[in-house]
Amino acid sequence: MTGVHALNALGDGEREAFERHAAASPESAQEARELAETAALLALGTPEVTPPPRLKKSVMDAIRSTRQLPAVAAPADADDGVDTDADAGSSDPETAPAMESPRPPSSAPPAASPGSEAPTGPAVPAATKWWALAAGLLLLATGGLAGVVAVQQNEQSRLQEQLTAAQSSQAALHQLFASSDLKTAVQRLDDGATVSLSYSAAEGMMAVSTRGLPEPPSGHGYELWLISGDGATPAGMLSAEAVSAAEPTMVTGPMEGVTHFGITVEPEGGSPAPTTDPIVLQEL
Amino acid sequence: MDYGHESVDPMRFPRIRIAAERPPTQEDLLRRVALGDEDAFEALYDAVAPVVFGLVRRIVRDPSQSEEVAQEIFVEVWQKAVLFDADRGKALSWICTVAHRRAVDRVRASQASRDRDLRQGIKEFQESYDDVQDQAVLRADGERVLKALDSLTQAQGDAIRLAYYGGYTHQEVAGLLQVPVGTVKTRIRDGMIRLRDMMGVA
Repeated sequence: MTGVHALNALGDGEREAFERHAAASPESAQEARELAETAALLALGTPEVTPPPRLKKSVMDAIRSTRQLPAVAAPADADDGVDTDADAGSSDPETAPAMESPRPPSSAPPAASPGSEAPTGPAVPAATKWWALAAGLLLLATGGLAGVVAVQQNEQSRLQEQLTAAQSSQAALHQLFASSDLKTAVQRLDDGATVSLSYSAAEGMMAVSTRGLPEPPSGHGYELWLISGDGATPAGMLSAEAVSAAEPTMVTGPMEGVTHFGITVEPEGGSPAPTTDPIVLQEL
Repeated sequence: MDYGHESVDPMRFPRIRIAAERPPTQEDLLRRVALGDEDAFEALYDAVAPVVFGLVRRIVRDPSQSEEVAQEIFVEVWQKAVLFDADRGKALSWICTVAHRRAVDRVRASQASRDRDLRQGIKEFQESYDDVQDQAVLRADGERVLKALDSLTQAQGDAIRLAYYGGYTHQEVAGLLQVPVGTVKTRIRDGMIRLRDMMGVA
């Protein structure tokens, strides 16, 4: 199937099935990548046709109002919390998920710095993925984009879970991630877990996603807080599913005057005010 | 860059001068596009538009639909430039992969193609293939790939041409060539592997 895949000659659904298969087999993935690169050469076997000048004008107009996928953090940084890239050295690049393939922009600021604009600023893969998810860009369908079809299996099934889980809040995520002033902030905790925050002041919306967060003590949960000059306001709980599947959760509550976001461990059901020290405190 | 009234000796910036002498590669441009550089995008457009549009016209055929598809392709290149990884291939290959997928999606989605009669399809396809052979004004690497394609067995070459340039699914290709689907898969894979080896893609 690698050849058929490289030529885009698979029908609906077959492409995804193939990519799942290729993801499970490094040899298939390698062959698929090479044949995709070979297929791209076939494009050169067609005569060039100069498009009409109006096409260029209309393309240039279109891109000026089109948001780009944000740059992502380096997959090679073993500390990025993504287990799938642990073995993705340069000798084995085809197993890296496509979304994480790009190199980071040089001199990328630390991932935890908040307030960067999406197109050029720092972001972590998790944030990028929801962005893709929320924008309706099916990651699974774009896996072969860079001539790379392989998305490692556990990564892919995680994304599928995210996709399913996110459907309910997808409209809200959609709105959030389409906002013109989307910002992201990422914190890495001492135990290696990451907490990613995406928010838009214009939309008054915020979403949080965690990865690698341990299960809270029995009878407890993670409570979200929006903090302003008046103190901390409860902003919902992270569900056990959200914690285990690393799915994004919309943060509920008024954003006006909010300067910080926090997470504390609270008794199940939440507390009206924080009773423990925050495990995460992020300035917005 | 405007240094204002202060006089700046250009010789104090030898590295800048050297960097400016080397024209940016398409890979350089695409990386700059990923950072939102519109000028780089325009330069890249100028460089690759004839290849992209030629491919789209070949697959989509209809001129106005081809323009629409080409527009979609370039917007996608802009949006997803960050996914390009120069370690894994050339910028032009990456762009052609985006272009081919878009063109094929369009040709399959359009009603005209959904209804297209496969027998008519192979006839048309054969004609368009002949056109290309006649024109034969290709870049050197295009010549190379066609030569490599010609060196495959007829059965392999036909299956690959129908799938890549015709935009047919492998099931459709099987119908057109009146052979089992499994046979088409094998022919395409064997042919592509030979092409890969001849073109030196590793």
